[in-house]
Formats: sequence, structure tokens, C-alpha cells
Amino acid sequence: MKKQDSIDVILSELPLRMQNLKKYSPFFDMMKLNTLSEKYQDKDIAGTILAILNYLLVEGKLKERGIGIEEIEKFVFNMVEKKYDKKMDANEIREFTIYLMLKITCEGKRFEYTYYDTDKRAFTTEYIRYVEYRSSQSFEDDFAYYITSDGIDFVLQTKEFGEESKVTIYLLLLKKQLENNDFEGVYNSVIRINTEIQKQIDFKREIVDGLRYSGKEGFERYLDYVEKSYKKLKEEESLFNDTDTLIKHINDDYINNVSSNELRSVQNEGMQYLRQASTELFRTIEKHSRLLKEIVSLKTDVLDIQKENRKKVFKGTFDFNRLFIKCIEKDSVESLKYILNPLFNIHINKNLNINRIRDMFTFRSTAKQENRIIDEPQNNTAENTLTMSQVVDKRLIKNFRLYMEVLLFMLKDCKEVSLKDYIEKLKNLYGEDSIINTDFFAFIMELNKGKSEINSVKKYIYTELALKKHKEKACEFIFLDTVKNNEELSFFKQIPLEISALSKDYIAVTDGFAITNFIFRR
Amino acid sequence: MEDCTKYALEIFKLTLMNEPINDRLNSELYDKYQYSSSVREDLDAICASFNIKIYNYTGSGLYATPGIDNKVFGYSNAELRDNLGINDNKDLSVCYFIIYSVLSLFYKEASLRCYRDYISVKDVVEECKKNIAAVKDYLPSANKDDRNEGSLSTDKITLQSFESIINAWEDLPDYNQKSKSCSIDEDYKSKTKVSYINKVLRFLENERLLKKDNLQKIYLPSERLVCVVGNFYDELEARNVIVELLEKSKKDIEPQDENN
Repeated sequence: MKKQDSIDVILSELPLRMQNLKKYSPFFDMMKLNTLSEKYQDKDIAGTILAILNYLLVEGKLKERGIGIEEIEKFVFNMVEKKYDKKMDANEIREFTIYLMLKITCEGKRFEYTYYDTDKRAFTTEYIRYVEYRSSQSFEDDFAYYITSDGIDFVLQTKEFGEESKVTIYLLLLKKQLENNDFEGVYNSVIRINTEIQKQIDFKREIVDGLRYSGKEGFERYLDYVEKSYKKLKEEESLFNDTDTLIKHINDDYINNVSSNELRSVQNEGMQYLRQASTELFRTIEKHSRLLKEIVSLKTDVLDIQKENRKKVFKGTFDFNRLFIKCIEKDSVESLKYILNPLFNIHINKNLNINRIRDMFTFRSTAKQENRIIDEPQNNTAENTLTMSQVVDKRLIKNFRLYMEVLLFMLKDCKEVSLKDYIEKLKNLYGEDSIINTDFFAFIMELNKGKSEINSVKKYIYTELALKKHKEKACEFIFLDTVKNNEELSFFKQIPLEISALSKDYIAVTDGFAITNFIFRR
Repeated sequence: MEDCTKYALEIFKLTLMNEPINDRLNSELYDKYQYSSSVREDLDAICASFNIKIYNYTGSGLYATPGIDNKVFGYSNAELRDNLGINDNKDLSVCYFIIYSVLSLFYKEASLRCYRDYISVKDVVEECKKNIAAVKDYLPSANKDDRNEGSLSTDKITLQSFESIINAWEDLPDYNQKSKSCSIDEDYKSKTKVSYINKVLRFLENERLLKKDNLQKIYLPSERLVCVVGNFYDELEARNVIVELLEKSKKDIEPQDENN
């Protein structure tokens, strides 16, 4: 059936289905009394009401008589004693019976059942009663209770034929419908059988769950199920085969005996139902045989489940609540952590990217980083892992050497170089980044270190500096090293490098940032 | 390197990345795990050295757990605080308590069967109330009248005190009465029970333990939750370790440092 067709059928059947539910509604209203009633909370009100209704049917309706309150009282008395092992004195029984009968008769009113009628497109209220209280036909002064047709309908529906026989009955019905050429009925029966099989599949799953988790009770339920279901499924299997063959025969007969003109007429509709029924039946048979196989394999599965269960007896179960209480008793939330952390994902702690943090402070974009020359070492392999300060020192020395080299080579060509010229040169050689870099400012500061108002010129004299020990990152050390390693700069071994500030001359290094201009001389 | 080891390492790699391994997304690897005992043996050996456990939840795929106290692949308190969006360990204690309450809605004991199909924020509020009552019952010192309001300063509180949970929890209103703009399940900012619960539920969703149905505003247990609870906690070894750690736990542990 197409999806739209199914929807149409579902919607057209809806008012009827809602109507059919009407008969159950008063019972479920009364069932609430089990919790709402203050006086009779310990009594099984719903069960007693159902029993009274059945009594009114069997002893009243079927014997064509009304039942008086005293007779019902006796019945309730017996029931309370036999079924609930409780003793109630005569007054209590009378009170209880009157209470029940008031409720069954809806205190003389009608039970209301309100539902939305999709045909009328409005809410509809229907009235229903299970029992009426009226004077008996023989004695006008004698009042009695009579079960109504709605009451009878309800009581009968509570005990239909057994679940285990449903499929068989539907299959037999289906056979009859086929023989009578009621093909629409055939189709509806097949749908019903399909639903029943699906219900059985779900039920089988519940049985397996019960075996795993409900102990002895679950095992008893399983034994009962296997015993009944296997035999039943076998019977059904042959009925299914018979039905399938019958449908095929009818189908063939139609094709052989009915001319194509006739097929377009009324029978055509019947044939369509039959075809749909045939497809649906094929699916149902498949489901049915799968269920049969599963039940056969269940006999072996149950051994494994039992084995597991036996192990569990010795192993015990992980009781979250018990452990929680233990955590409280120990006043240890830390222990909750041990219990709950295994639930979390695998977590990998990612290290901070020092480069990116540095760039954040120096406003450097990632794209620029790709082209820069002045950079930190990238080979952070496991063997070369350095501490943060080591990494900074290494980078600082490398950058200081580069800045020193550029400066000294400029002084090789010119006797005097201003800081402004020096910055321009660096920009030309290595780009804007080389100036924005914090190491550049550190280099300038370090280069001028020791200069004072009295001694406003800083001198780097090779011969003097060579006699002293210097730190690796000190400009003195870098000056010595650069001169030593570059033959072209060897003239600095004889002549000093002089640095003096031009106190009133400021140069803008970057936007909004200016420093005093310097003169570098040789 | 042998092929089986390569497959085992590939599975391990995906596991570390919290990538799903199942029949739909990477059937070759999943089949290798299911049908090749040598792949499984290699994988078990690799996982064992990192204290990781991998379980197969038939039909759904492979799921991993970092185990009980995994220093390498587990969360530190600081990382958990970041992920939950909370500030201190007092809040973290409350969140652990809520996580337990969520778990106790679905499970009474470790099994592959949940007691409930789904939960709502309101259910968690109620469950927390129930569990707070249990804390009061079993923790003799936890009497609200006796406790010194505000005496526990945030920075000194470690994860060891249930009293801190009661203090924090009971001082919070259930919902943000003033806010009309956001619904209960969207409140992450106010100082309310619901806001804490939402943070925890969001975290559990990110940890692939819950699935949120945004339409109905309910949370369903994920296959991963069912698989880990049904397998990991059911193992005798895991249970013994937890019980042992619980026995060893002391009341007065030094406050944790910044990173913890």
C-alpha cells in the first residue's frame, strides 16, 4: 500500500477506533480511585468493580434478573475474604459496597467520554454507563442493579480468546474469507496477522530480557513461552502455507477465467485487494519463519544466558546507588570522580602553541609568519625539547647576531649610520616584521646598556672586550663573535664601534611608537 | 610491521581521536576488529599499555573508555572545569553530583538495559533533590541548621566534601524566575540549579553519552553510554579498583593546586 493510501485509511478509521475506546473509559476513570480515595486506598477498588460487573452479567443478565445491594454486599464480603485475606465487619462491608456501587453508577449520572471527531471536526462528548439502578420489573418498590449493553461489551472485551490462539484464529478466518471471495476482509485479516506476528517478535525479545535480568521468574516465563509457542508456531506455519497456496489458486483462477474487460469492472477492485494481501502475506510468512528459527535458537541461547547468570551470582552487580552511599559515608567526592570518569571520552591534552601566543602580543598575522626570516627554532622534537627560557634565549641570540651583522656590515660601507637608516635597511632586507619584533627593541636596549648621562657614548673596543668573559646573549659577546667570524669585519679589531644618542631626535618605528635616534660610528 | 598491527594501530588512532568505528563509516576496520583475533590481540595489547579499554557494542560500533584514573588520556579537574564552563572545584563537585544523578536516572546497576528511555531537565532536578536527601541521610554532619553558611571559601574546597555540594546546591533556586526570554533547557548563565544541570547535560552530550532531542527537549542515552556502562562497570577488575580506591579515600586531602 502506498504511503498516502495508508494515511487515508488510518484517518478514515480514526473516528471508529475512538468510538471503540469509549467502553473502556469509565473503568479507567474508576481505576484512579485506587489512588484518589482517602478511605479505601488499601483496597483493590478497580479489581472489585470488575468482579462486580462480571457478577452482574453472569448472575444478573444471563439469569434475566436484577441484583439487589444485599446480594452484591455478600459477593463483596466473600471476595474480600477469599481474594484479599482481609476481614471487614458488616458495617464496613456495607459502607464499602455502597461506595463502590455509587462509583459504578457514576452517582446516578453518566460517565463522559470526550474525543475529537475528525469527521465532524469538533470535540464530541458521549455518555456511557455500565450499570443502571432501577426498580425491578416484577416489584416496583424493589430496586436492583442491571448491567447495561456497554457494561456487557466492556466485560466481554476483558477476556477475549487467548493471545496464543490469535494468529490461528485469524488464519482460519482468513481462509473462510478467501472461500467467500471477501477480498477486502482478506486484506484486513492479513494486516492483523502481520501485526500479531510483530507483537510476538517483541514478546520474544521481552522473554530474552526477562531471562537475563528477571532471575527465576524470567526463567519460568521462558519455559512457559517456549513450550506453548513452538507448537503453536508449527501449527501456524502449515496454516500459513495453506493460505498462501489458496491465494495463489484464486489469483490463477481469476487470471484464467476472467477476461480483461471484466477485470476492469468490480472484480478488479477485489483482485487489487488480493494482490496486496498476497504481498503482505509473503512478508508475514517471512517474519513468521524468522521468529520460528529464533525460538529454536533460543533453546541454545538460554544455556549461555544461564551460564552468564550463574557467573553473576558470584560476581555480583555494580550497584551505583550502593557505591554512591559509600562515597557519602566516606565524604569523598573524589571517589565519585573514580566512578564517573570512565564514562568520558578519551582526552588528549594539547600543548599551548608558544609561537601563536607570541604573535598575539606582537600583532603578527599567520600569513606574515610564513615569509619571515627571523624566527624561532621549529624543530621541537622529543630529543630537542627545551624549556621555555632556553627557547627564548636561543631565539634571542640568533636574532641579536643577525641584527649585529647587518649593523656592522653597514658600518663597513659607511663611517656613520643613523638608527633611522639602520631600520630602513632591516626593513628592506627582512621586512616590517624584523622591526616589530620585540627582540629588535631588546637588541637596541642591550646595545646601549651601560650608557649614562655622563658617559653618553657607548664604545665596543674589540681588544678590551676580548679580555673579559661575557654572557652568550650580551651584545659584547655577539660583537666579538661576529667580528671574529667575518673576515670582512676584521677592521673592528682595530677601531671601536661607537654609539651615541641624538637626544632631541625621535624616530617613529611603528605606528604610535617612537624611540630616540642613535648614531652608530666606527 | 605486520598488517594486523597496522590495523590495530589505525583503530587505536581513531579511538584516540574519538572517531566512530562502525559498520557504516569504516566497515573494513570494524570487520578486522570483529573477525580477526590477531588484530584484536594487538589492539588489546596497545590499549592495555595506555589503560584504555575498547568495547564492541554489536550493531553500533566500537567505544572506548579511558578507565578509572587515566593520567594520560583522562581529564584533569582544570580541563573538566573548562569543558563544563565552571570556575572552581566547588562547582566541579556539584557537577559530578549532577552527572551521578543523571546516571542514576538511567541505571540502578551496571547492565546493558536502561531503566528509562529518556529524561528531561525537570527529571534531573527532581533526581538531584532525591540524592541530596540521601546525602543528608548518610552524612551525619550534613544538617542544614548546623552548617555555617559561607564558611567554606571557594579556593580551599577540594573535591572531597559532600557538605560543599549541599551548601552550593541548596542555596540555588530551581529556575530563573525573572527570565522570561529563555526556556528552562536553554539557561546556562543564571545562578540556578537548572543552569548547572544544563551545563552538565551539554557536557555529557559533547562526551557522546547523551543525545538531545531538541524538539521535545529531552535527552536519550547514547549507544556509547549503554556500551560503557554495560561492559566496563560489569567487569570484576574495574569494580575492584573502584572499591579499593573508595576504601583508600581520605577525608582531609590537601587542597589541589591551580592545575588540578
